[in-house]
Amino acid sequence: MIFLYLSITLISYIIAKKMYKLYPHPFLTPVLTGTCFVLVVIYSLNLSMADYAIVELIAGELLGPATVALAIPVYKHRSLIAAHVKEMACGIFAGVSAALFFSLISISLYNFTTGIATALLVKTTTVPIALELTAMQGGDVSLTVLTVMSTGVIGAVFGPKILSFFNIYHAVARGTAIGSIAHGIGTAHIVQEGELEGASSAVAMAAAGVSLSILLGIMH
Amino acid sequence: MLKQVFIFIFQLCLLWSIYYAGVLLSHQFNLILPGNVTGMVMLFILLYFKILPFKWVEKTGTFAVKHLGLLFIPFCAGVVLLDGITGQSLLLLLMIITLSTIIGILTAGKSFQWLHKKGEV
Repeated sequence: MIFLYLSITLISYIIAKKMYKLYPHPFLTPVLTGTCFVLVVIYSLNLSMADYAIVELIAGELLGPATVALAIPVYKHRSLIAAHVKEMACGIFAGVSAALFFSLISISLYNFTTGIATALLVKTTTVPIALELTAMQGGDVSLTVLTVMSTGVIGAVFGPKILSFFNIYHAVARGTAIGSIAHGIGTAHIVQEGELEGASSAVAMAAAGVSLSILLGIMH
Repeated sequence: MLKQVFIFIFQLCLLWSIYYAGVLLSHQFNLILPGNVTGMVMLFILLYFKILPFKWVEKTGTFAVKHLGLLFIPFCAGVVLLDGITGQSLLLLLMIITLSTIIGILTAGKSFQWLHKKGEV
């Protein structure tokens, strides 16, 4: 049974990845389309979603070492970082703080549950880091995944257009801005503009994870 | 082929050890960083100061970063089990997320450019 669920997930991912290569639109992000395929197969074969939780458990085990590996793009592009270290650090920290500040304001305006409030606070970082932060703050896994994925897609769809509208054309600036807020989904999208954009976005994603952890830690 | 598999598993074990070291460190010293973030910072330090040769984690690490999304799918699928959230609150949530995302991206980009231009003058 586990094998069946694993195969469904893997095959869905491979098809989704191929589709994104053909049509690289943020709405067709492999994680999203892959998830849809998995759900369609599970419901049409009348399989149980509760049983599918075992795959989540396995993925959770692999997520730790995979997240650690996010240091690799940072290491690889250390000369790019060295050339723009001040701008990147300030851009990332300012961007993450601004998004967090806006979330804080909206949380104070509306009477959200702890789950939703936490999901809004951690939404700008990549899924595994957001999940860890959610566990530390006491939130809800599904709500966090929902806000994180939405942030990624919305950032990838509107981010580049908004940056252009405000005359931000520097490749590293664009990558940094997208990566620090729209994490992996944004990175997969902005890399189509160029290698420099993609590299700085991957670096920003990792650094933004550290920044958000520090900011939330201080607040807590 | 077998050698490739062996190398992959060895590198995965290495990444795993760094991850667990990060979790342990975060827990022991009550760090504000979650374990996986501590592990990530540790790996960067190890690579940067050449304590750990890059080759030792390159294969599995690069593969893991490239296919990180695969590991998100089960978590995303779990979102359908979410209940107690109405369409109205979902719409409000999406509006907040959209505004916050745009503000974040714009602030990051503008701060970068502002500092960059200041450096050029």
